[in-house]
Amino acid sequence: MKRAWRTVAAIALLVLAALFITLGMARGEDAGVYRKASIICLECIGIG
Amino acid sequence: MAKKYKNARRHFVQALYVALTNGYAAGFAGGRIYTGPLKAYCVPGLNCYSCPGALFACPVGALQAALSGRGASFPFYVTGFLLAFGALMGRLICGFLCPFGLVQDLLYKIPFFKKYTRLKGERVLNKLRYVILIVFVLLLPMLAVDVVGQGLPWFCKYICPSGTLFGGIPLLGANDVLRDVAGALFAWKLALLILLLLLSLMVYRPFCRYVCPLGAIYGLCNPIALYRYRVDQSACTGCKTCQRACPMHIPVYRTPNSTACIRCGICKNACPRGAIGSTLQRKGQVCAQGDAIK
Repeated sequence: MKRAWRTVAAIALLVLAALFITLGMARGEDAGVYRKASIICLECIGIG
Repeated sequence: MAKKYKNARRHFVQALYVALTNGYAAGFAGGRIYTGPLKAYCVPGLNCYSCPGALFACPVGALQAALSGRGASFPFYVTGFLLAFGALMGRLICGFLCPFGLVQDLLYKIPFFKKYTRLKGERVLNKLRYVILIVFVLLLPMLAVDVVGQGLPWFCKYICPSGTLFGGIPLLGANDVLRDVAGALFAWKLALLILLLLLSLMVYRPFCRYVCPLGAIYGLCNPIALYRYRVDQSACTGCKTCQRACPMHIPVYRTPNSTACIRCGICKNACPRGAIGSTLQRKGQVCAQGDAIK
């Protein structure tokens, strides 16, 4: 793949990422991430 | 000298990043975790959100949590973070912005009677991280659910050594209640961590090479990420100095954007012709030609 196409693909991915993050925030997914990350995850530390 | 300086600079960036993203000192002292608003955002590297110092969320943990929840749908938010980080940097994140990567880097510096550039079955082992990504991060959290439809973060629960090292050990050390309930699962995770740490003395970054699902995702982004390596075909003689210098033994002169490359930069410093550059360097500064030579 030529360099220009690689850069176009990366920029397209970035645009898609921005859309996904915006859509996720609109659906309240950021609150879900916060809820999970702000309590001790017993599975993660090998207890749950 | 230049090589040592460049590697020292990378380790400085790694250490600074770890300090900045895991700077909640009160958590270590009190055996608790940070609960501020920053926890709604993912960091690029594998960074357990149950580490007492963690200020942000782990993207792999957040992805599994989103997939394993009751009535889970496509996790747009976390996927967006993963795509953005991957498209910007690829596995540069592994080389510079991963706490567990730094630990493995430092362990590999310890002299050991035998250092291996490759393990037996390397080609198969290299595919293992994709299996772990698909099975433990995506499929099992989505499909192995209880009667109310709640799944588990299988990778975090049964594999992640970063969670054990940065989350489990400090929390259990400072919190009596947690220490009292630790059992067989913690013993399993601790054994896995010890195995990987011991292996890190002999093999460069075994977790990143064979296990890390986040590295698998970012590796797929390596060929197109805005930060890429370029090899100047007119300067490269194919002497393989880059491959010999590469701790992962990647033939950089042939595949500068290999999915295994963590962008440590050692090959760039090693090349006697200065033929390996990156997209951050101005055109003509090192490379005059395209991305890869085939």
